[in-house]
Amino acid sequence: MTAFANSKLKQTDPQRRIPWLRIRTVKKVGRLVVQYILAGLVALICLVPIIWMVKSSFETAQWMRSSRIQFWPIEPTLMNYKDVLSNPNAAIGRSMLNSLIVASLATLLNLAITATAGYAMSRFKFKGKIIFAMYLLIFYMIPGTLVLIGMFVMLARLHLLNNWIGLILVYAVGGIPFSTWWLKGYFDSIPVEIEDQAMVDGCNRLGALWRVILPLAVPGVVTVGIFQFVGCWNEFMMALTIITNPKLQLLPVQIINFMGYQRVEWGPVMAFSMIVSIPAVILFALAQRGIVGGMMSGFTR
Amino acid sequence: MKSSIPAPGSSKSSRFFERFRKHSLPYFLIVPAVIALIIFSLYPFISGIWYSFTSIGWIKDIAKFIWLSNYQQILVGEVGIARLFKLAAVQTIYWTVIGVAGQFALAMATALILNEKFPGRFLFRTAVMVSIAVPTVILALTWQWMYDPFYGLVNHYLYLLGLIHDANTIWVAGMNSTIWPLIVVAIWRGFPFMSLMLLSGMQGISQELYEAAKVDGANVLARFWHITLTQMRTTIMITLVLNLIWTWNSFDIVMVVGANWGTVASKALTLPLLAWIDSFRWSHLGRGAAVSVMSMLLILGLLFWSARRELRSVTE
Repeated sequence: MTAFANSKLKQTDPQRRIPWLRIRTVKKVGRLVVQYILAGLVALICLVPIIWMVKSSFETAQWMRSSRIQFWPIEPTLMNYKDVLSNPNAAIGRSMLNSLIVASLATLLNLAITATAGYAMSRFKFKGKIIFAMYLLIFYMIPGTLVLIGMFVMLARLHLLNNWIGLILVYAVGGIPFSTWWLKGYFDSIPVEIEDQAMVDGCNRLGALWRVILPLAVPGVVTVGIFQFVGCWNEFMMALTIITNPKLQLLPVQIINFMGYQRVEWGPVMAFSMIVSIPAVILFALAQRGIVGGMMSGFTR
Repeated sequence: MKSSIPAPGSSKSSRFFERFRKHSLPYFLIVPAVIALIIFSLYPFISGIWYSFTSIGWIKDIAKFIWLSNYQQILVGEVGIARLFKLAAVQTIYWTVIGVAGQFALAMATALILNEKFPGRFLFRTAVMVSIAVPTVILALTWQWMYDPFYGLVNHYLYLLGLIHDANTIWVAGMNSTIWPLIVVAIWRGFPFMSLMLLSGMQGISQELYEAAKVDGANVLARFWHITLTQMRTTIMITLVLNLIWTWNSFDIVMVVGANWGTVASKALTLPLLAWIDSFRWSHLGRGAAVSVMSMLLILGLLFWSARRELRSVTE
């Protein structure tokens, strides 16, 4: 009798019968499964267009015009890439060089302006600081088209339309609010004592900035620089309006011009898209850590 | 080392110089940024507003002050630019409100997942990052290809699910296509970055609050409502305001996906695109500027109207 009761007890007690199937474990596993399903869903939503772009860029023209839909190439080929790289209308090499020059120079100019401004915002109290800070935040909210109209007339009078100098200046200034706020936050995280020590050792303030603080700030400056570069690389509206000479055109507009030359062949266009996106994605992946937090801190403080 | 510190008895002029140097340094540091912003941001902005009151059509024209004539043209009348303006204004409201609502729902879900720790989180993070980094123009093109009436992904699956009857529905870039397919693209474009903005606020919440609530017996929903949302109030406000303004002013998607290069479907028009087309395609810089100014006033009005309760609670 007692043996029977014991065995019954054993059977009904799941914890003792299958020790790994504890309620807590079940809860944990269930939680993990739900997490994976949700994460997978969001990742899928994020990636579907990108996968579709990758797939289409490796697809042959015949299969592009078929009703068969699948997310990997039916017949993988590099034809589209060869097409777009050799097509004189695409002019991919020239426009990539244009983009590279404009984005690099704009980024360097932007960093030169904002590293000092960010340092001043971080270390000094001065008259007009609040007005400057307010303007940087308001800048995010000014409509681009309105600024563009005023800018367009101004650049025309300065003979800077269809000229990289105009675009470089526009890009460099467009990035000032973001870079300044971000670098201010970065300088805030470097202790003031380091400069004081340098100044006791005989540096003046500028010397301390140049020899001691700037080397310490290099990682932050590089992060912001990469972000600015990617921003210029991806920019569309300003380039479309200010540059009309196809020889000077940048990548994002060039791809639209390229589409205009032909009945849309999506294969080569998607290959072109891949070539434009890959540098942006790689650079952004290198710089992404902490970039958004730095931006938000400007508003919350 | 000694020479850099002025002795107490040194000449008056050098002390003045020292003081000047000490106090003027921040101005020296900030002056390039200020000049650059005045020339390339403040001046174009103000001159843009000024041009909206003038007859300027193209760059060689003289800007003659014509009072509110441009505004009259875009606001009064049932044909031409006035009709387009009203249409675009209504569509921009749909585009912004529904677009940001969709972005917010997806972004909050994404941020909550990103905030959890689970094996393989790295891959998930990468998926979000990649979709942020790809240029908007490229995404717009990819979506246009996905919306392709004959070989596109969207038609294929919607037809398969029985949601549409015409397997070759034209979604975008047709003469009668509307703003709705573009809103889907806008949601898609906006939510990954928005989720990072929300995440930056979420990570600041102290874990102890959740532990305490757990002890008190609050379930997941209650904890989300009373802790996550309450603690993130400021972050959410800033994120929403910024994204409302950005979405309202966004240009690339409507331009690339909606406009069939040269022709524009009036039902897929938003105010920034109308301002741009009026200025740079139809050579009415002054009138385009007026459309832009009206657009700016509308979004500011919308923001104040939606924040009126908060504003009232501050003033009273």
